[in-house]
Amino acid sequence: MREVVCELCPRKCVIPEGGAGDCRVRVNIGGKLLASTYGRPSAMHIDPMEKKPLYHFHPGSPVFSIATAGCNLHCLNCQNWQLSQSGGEEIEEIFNADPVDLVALARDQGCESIAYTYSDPVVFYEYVYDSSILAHEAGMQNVFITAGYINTEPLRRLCKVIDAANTDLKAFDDGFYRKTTGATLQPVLDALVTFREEGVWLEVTNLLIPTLNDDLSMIRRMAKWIGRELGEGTPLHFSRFHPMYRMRNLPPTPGETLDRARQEAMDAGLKYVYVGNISGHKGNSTYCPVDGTLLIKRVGFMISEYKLTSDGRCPTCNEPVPGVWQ
Amino acid sequence: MWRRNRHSRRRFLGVLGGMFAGVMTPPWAVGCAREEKKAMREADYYRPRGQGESGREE
Repeated sequence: MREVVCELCPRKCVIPEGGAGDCRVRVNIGGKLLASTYGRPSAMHIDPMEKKPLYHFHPGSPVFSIATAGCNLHCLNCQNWQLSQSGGEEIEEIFNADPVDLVALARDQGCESIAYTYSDPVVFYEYVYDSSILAHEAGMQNVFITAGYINTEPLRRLCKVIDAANTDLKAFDDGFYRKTTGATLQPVLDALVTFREEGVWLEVTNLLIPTLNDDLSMIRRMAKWIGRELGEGTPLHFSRFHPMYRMRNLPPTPGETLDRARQEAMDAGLKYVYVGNISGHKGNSTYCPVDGTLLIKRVGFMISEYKLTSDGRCPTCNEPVPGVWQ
Repeated sequence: MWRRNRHSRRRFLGVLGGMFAGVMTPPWAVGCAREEKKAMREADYYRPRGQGESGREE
């Protein structure tokens, strides 16, 4: 038996010949580890950048978004479980789009960026890497939407070809990670720091699940850590939970919980804290942290007012707002 | 029975036809499927079990 050890993510799966890793899509065939979903996305959509969510990176632009089957996390509340918790064999739609086809398709659709998203793109790493190089050559940008459960060495290499990332920091508690996602916290924190060190534009999302990770003291510790390690200008998105997959026993997150979390994070020093999955909420919009001017008003994923100057500053006090605006 | 229920007869013939078409997959279509399998790419980060990261035995 020619077993191999996958060194892409912290699980370091030992995969027997003919078997697959925990992600179900990295397979050992004849002693070689193959990326079985390379060039085979199962989801392709054009989304607004706000849906990722990325609020400080080319706001309002369309982004060509793809995913393949498989994931290296197994969140009980997964929203895309039909896609992520599958090796692809149960999925009806699998497209053939190698990196050349993908970039051409995205351009034909008028998109200036490609998002690797929906499931965790860590498991189709090679597809992301090869496509991102071609996308850069074509003058496009790459966006990586991930849970950040990846080893540092492959992530550093990927950061050379990625322009922006939104990382899901699911809780600031290792116990939560182990029970709810099957992963661990520390590698995710390491990935966040790596994104920052490598100069990738970074935003962080935290899905608040009632009773499991909505403790305000934990939120304060998380916000302090983000401010200290990633910078106080790092956008943080608190997202509303909806009952899904194997976690249908809990109610949707109350709006007041999201409000309290947002206030707690801002009190801890973060300048741009958002509320997601509640359309029309005040926390969907961007405000100047100095004088409170409304800079970008959002309704759902749409932008209804845009007042930032062309170089990304507040029009009243000239405060620079971190982000990639042009 | 067939005279009494032509819908059932059509369904039966449709299923039979589908099965026949499935068995009779043209050889060039089988070749295409094999060609697709070749597109899998070798992963970037792995090692044979038994070798440490610096080539040492585990």
